[in-house]
Parts: sequence; C-alpha cells; structure tokens
Amino acid sequence: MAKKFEGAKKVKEIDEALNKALADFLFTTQGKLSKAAPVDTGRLASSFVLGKDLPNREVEPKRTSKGPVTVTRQYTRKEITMDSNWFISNNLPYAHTVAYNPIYGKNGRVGGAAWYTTILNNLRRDADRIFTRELKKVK
Amino acid sequence: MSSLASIRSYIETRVAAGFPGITIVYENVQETPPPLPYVMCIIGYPSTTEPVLCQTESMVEQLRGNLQLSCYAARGQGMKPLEAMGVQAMVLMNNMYEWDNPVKVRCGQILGPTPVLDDAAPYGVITISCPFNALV
Repeated sequence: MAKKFEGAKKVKEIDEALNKALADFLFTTQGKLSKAAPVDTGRLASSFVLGKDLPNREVEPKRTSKGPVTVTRQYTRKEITMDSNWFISNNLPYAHTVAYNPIYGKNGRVGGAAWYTTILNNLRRDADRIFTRELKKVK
Repeated sequence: MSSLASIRSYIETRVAAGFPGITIVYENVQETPPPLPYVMCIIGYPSTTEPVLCQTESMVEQLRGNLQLSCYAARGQGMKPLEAMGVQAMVLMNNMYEWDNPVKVRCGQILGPTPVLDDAAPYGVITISCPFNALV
C-alpha cells in the first residue's frame, strides 16, 4: 500500500533541519574563530559575535592583562532561522590586520599565522558537512 | 607515495619559481623578515581525514590543506607592486596542478588578494589564500 505523502509536514521538517543546521554552522564557525585567534589579552578571541541582518558592533571591553577567552552566544539556537541574514563579525580595530597579516597573526593557536584564512577557506566544506548531516535526518 | 614533506617541497618550489627575484620566507626558517619586497608562504593542514575519492588510485588518501601567500612591499609607493605580486600568486595557484606529479596538489577557490594597510607598519601587505587537495 502506498504511503501517504504529507507535504506540509515534510516541508516543516526540512525547515527545522535547515534552521538547526544554520545554528550549528554559525556556532561552530564562531567557536573555531575564537579558538584559533591569537591571544595576548584574549580580547580579540572573545570578540567574535553574531549579528542578525546587520553585523553586530559589540566588542569586549579593553583589557590590561590576560583574561579568559569567552564565546558569547547572542542568540539562542531557536532564534536562528533561515529567513534572516546572519553575520559573524569582529569589530576590534586591529582584527583585520591580525587576520590577514601573518606577522601579527603568528601566534594563531590553530593554523598558526594563517589561522583566519584556514577557517575561511574551509567554510564551504563545513557548511556542506553540517547541512548534509541535518538534512539526512529528514526521512 | 608522497608525504607531507614532499607536498611542502612541491608547493614551496613552485612558489619560489613563481616569484623570480623576490625573497620567499618559509615557515620555521627565519624569524627576522628580509628586506622588502618579500613573500611569506604558509602551508597548513586543517583536515587530514578526507574520504578517498578515487578508488582506482590504490586507496590513496586525500589531504586537504591551506596555502596562504602574504606579499610585502614598501608603504607609500602605490598598490602596483602589491597587486603585481597578487596576480603572480593567483597565476601560481591556478597553475599548481601537474598531472604527472605524484603529490597532485590542486588548488581550490582563491580568497583575496586582501590588502592590509590599516596599521602603522612601514610596509603594505596583501594576502591571498586558497584551500588545496593533495595525495598522501
């Protein structure tokens, strides 16, 4: 006997899988950046933030000595949905230099001086892996 | 059969040949930068567990790496020297693959060249990078 195709239910499941995959992808990337960034005081590594529809301009307060590296989740998993544009940004004035100039980025903890491009060049693969994993769960 | 050393050797040799007359700084070789202009060549391996894509090649494993070339030139002399090196880097990445070489380094989508001129350093930098696949 043929199985009844429940279109609306299936679309809802796919929507939920896409939303979950997007949240995983954003959190994974934010965590990777924070983990890989060079640490002097820890301010740069703690300043990768999520933004919805606009880049988030928040930064960690200035530090005078080494502090903890923290990853702040600005949005919960349920708040992240495919119907918005999402940004991961770092608004410290020296972030661009540390990301692209290996002389400043040489203390990168994962990927060494090329810590930033290593993550950027693997984004597509990460997205592919995470979205495929979640969509495969839809039966 | 290739190794990480042979992959690095292949890429570094190609980089040296791609920038005639320009000093190349390799990783873990020298701490003091040479006189300008120079190119810094950084190779990393974010993933060493890629699936075997081609069963006919004796189950050889694929390796995914990241190649970054950062080109340094004197500040205040226009973008031409930096962009010229950027183009050389792009051509080099596009032509990295040699079908008869055992390491089979093949570059992917190129990111950059991204200029970095927002600090007070006496040089300008552009960084260009790409992922690459190789056989181990």
